[in-house]
Amino acid sequence: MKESLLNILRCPECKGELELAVEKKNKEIEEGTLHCSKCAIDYPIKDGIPNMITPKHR
Amino acid sequence: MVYIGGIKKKDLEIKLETISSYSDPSPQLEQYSTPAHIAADILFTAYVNGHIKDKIIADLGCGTGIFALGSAYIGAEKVKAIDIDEDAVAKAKREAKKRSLANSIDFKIQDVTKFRTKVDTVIMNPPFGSQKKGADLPFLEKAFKVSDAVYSIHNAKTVDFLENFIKDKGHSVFWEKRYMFEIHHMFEFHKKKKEDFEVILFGINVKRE
Repeated sequence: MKESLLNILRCPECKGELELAVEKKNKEIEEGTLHCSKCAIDYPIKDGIPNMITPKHR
Repeated sequence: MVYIGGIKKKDLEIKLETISSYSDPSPQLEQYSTPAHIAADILFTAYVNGHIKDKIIADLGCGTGIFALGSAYIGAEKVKAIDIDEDAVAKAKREAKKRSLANSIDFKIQDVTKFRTKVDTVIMNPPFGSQKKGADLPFLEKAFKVSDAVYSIHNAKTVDFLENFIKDKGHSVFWEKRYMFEIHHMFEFHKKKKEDFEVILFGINVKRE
């Protein structure tokens, strides 16, 4: 996932902004987490792909 | 010879043919891959209508990414590829990397109804609704909300219903073309070894409010 995508990614539950935590970065963010502090939900980034499905639907 | 975006239509078809299909297709999600020659024809149609070159494209329910990769091949500025199936998206992304297309495609695991990015064109093969009636409608509704032009494949049996559905929402169909999908025996509920299944492509102009 490209870092610039963070500007348009929103929490699918509350539509709020997400905080990015990077674990592995090459040209793009390979591994990490997008966190919604309001809903206390982590959306994982794996192999560069953000998983925006809420945990109850995963 | 037909050229699109600097490559021959036939060559595009060959490139798309080598995209691996679902390794473990889900009947619930109706994961039927779009045949490469049909995908190439649809991409060609969208291209000549000016809906791909330098445009932002979304492939909703991208599966293994045939429309996303195809759009990137022929000159889309950016492609948004989303699907609810983690494995399918990972596979699509691997294919894109292999073909040096990953820079122009953003992959996301997401429910289509949660997609909110404004794009120019949506090109998609939503579920046909044969397992869950009307499963294609949320895809169409979302496409109408986020784009100006939509190319979408549906079960040809539902053509009358869909034409009315599209018209009722104030949009107009500018292109219709029928194709045959050859569905191979994939799921336990399939009785024949393979079956021809008629689909219809709608090209839709979205009316903006």
